[in-house]
Amino acid sequence: MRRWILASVAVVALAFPTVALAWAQWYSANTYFGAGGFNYSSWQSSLNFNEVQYEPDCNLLRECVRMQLSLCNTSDSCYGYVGASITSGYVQDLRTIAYGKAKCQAHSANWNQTYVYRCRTSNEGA
Amino acid sequence: MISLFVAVGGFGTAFAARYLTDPAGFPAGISALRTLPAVPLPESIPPVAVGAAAAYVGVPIENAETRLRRLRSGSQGDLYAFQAEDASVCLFLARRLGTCLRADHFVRLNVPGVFPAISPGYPDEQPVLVAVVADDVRRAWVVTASDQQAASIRNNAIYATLAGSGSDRIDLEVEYESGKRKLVPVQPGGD
Repeated sequence: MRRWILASVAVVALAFPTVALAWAQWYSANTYFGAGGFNYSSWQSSLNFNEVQYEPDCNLLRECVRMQLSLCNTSDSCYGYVGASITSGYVQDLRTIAYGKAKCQAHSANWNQTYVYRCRTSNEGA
Repeated sequence: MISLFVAVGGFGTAFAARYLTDPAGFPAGISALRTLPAVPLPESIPPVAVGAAAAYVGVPIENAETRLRRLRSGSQGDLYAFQAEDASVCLFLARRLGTCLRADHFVRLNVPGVFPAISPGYPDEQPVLVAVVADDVRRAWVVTASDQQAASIRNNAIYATLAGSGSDRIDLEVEYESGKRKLVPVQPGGD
């Protein structure tokens, strides 16, 4: 009987090969980031998509707020920041890290707080 | 004394005309995005990236995919972009970055017909500056604290390898068909 159960489990396992499940995590939503403020996602495998949507905001001196993205490994070493034009309000980091966490940061030189609609990461970029 | 005022006033007017007056920008057109052949969505641009960008600028993903064009190639891969009906622009650097500029921000933020982004790439790569520019942008220079390099414009795009770390202060100076010039801040220094 036990042998029969093991065989059945093996057959079922072979019939359904391992599939990497898609996941996504919003790690900031509808909040303000002060200059230099940041947030991390939780630790994840196969991060390959990271995005931030924020409200672009420039003053009369044409200084604009800027958000930037990175991926960090377990040694807390992060890739260089991806940041778009200072007048953009949407940036994606399409790089990959096998295991790590996503980072979403307001530039330290921002003249004002930045309203962030979302910082979101996933493994949907494969 | 009067001649001094006249001289200063004249210089001020010339300076304002050269650097402060705003040219037509993206609503004037990005002709490469109409004239270059359509490309199938490349493997290096994940569908989620185009889908999320399309949602941000408010167009269906199918619309964004059919409007996608390959503008240039460089050390970090190919540069693609699409422009929506309302002139919003999204650009993608293969497996590196994506970003969008929405048309409703053009006026409020005084967008100068130049849409740049810095890609630091992976740690073993040289950072690059990529940009989509409007038809009326004739010449461009990448300006850093220590250097000013001419950047070629092809297919309404700039793709320049940067010498520094990628986190230095970087500006783009552009010259329009009218001869006016503008300094476009790309990124402040530091993180």
